[in-house]
Amino acid sequence: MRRALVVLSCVSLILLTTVATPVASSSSTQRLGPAETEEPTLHVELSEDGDATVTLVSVYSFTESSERNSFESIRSDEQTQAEMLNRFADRIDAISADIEADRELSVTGDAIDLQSGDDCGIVSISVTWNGLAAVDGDSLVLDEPFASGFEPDRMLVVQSPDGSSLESSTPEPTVTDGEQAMWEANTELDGFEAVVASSSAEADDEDGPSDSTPGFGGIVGIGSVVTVLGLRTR
Amino acid sequence: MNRTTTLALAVILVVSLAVMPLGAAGAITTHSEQHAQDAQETNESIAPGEQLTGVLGVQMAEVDGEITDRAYGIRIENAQTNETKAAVVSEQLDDVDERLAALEQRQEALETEREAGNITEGQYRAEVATIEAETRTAERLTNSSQLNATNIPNATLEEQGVNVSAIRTLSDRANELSGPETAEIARSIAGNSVGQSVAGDRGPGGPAGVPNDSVDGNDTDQNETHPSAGDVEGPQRGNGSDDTPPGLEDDTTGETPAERDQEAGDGDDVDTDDSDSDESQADGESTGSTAEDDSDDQPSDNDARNARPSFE
Repeated sequence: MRRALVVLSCVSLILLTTVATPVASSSSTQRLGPAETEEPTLHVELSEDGDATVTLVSVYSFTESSERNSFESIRSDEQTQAEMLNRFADRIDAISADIEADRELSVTGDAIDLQSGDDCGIVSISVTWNGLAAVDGDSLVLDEPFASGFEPDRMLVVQSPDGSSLESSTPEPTVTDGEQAMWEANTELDGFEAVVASSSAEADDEDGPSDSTPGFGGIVGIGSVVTVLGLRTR
Repeated sequence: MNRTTTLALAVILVVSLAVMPLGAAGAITTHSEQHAQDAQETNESIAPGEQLTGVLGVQMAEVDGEITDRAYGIRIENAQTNETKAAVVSEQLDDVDERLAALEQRQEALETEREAGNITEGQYRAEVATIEAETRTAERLTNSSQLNATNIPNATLEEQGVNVSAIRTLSDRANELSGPETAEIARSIAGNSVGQSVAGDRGPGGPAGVPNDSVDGNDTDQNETHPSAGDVEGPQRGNGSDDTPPGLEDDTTGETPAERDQEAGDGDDVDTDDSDSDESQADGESTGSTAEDDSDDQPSDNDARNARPSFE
């Protein structure tokens, strides 16, 4: 019961954060970004050139005031945050170096963000992973490092670039709205591959309007599923 | 004929003696090369996905450790008396005991899975790295608790259920989990910094963002009769419980285990580095409290009990 209340509190925190944060993009498409995720997540946001912003989102439940104060002290400690970010970037870069690919891969630290409420705190650490996805014509192909023994203890979210959507994937995502696909925690991902194609290219083959990106309703759908999964797995 | 045979045997002997070192050297070289090759193969056997699993586990463990470290420091900082500090130390040691027990179980289960061939070398290494990072947190918490306990009278510690000899046991258990081989495996997954505190300037047992030599700095209104925890280099414990029975009378002396060790000529110390402790005590700034302080103050952070933060 307490855990459910904590989750609900965290959801409220995220919703407040989302509402309070000005929307930078004028795009009509709204998505669940890393900052809007209330569950432990590995969030991969792809760019058209195959680069990606990879964000590790962790949720911390406070059981007492000292933990909240501890979290707040880290939140105001830029040096410690920088160390966390640097370590994460270095480690992901080491993985990147071991991936066999016909393109150049590299990793740089991007940002670290801490958000807290009364009952929980959320840590988001992001790196920019250049060349993570292979570019194949109008498509992006994402496989490693998720294809070889990755055992996700959290959900994996792949966000397609603007104007693109998930064309196919192995395994099938737990839920998708086209632009954003989610595999829940502990999904068997061996042989993982996600192919993302430009929506305009797809639209050429259809009669529908090119502005066919899912609206907020679809995203709310994913958010709801994510929340339900979160409540179930906690 | 006899002479020829003798000559031939002599030549064979000389040649054999000359060749033997070369053969041995060759064997050594081969062995070294094999070792290097094994190490390389081991690294190559870690798939990127397996390494990513380990990296995420280590990263989470380190952030969790930092939050836990600071939360403990805050609880110690908020505890105004020896009694409440001892209560915080007691809770923290219970927490460390639970953490180590869970880690030992995970390590044992992991070894079983590996021996049964149910997991790959990469899966094994990823989990070992995560366990190593979490063990380092338990190790730091043990050291911090031990350091803080040094400035609290034994009678007070015992009243709060702190078993001073058990602290050493916890430290040994952490060391056993985190051996050189484990550390090497962890490095192969997530680099040299695995499990190290991400806040370099904060000493063990210290509140958030406060260097080690400022530990207990909030006790400046109390009688200065004890060495600062920050001046003690490394964990130091005496077996003071044997010669100081628990009770209010003993508590009123305000005598800490560190002081008793000094007075007793360290004769009761077991498995401790006495020389460092004594040197630091000689230079130490006294910040401990007296029994009057204890009786006047109320616990400041009751909900600190049974603390066990965790990432989900």
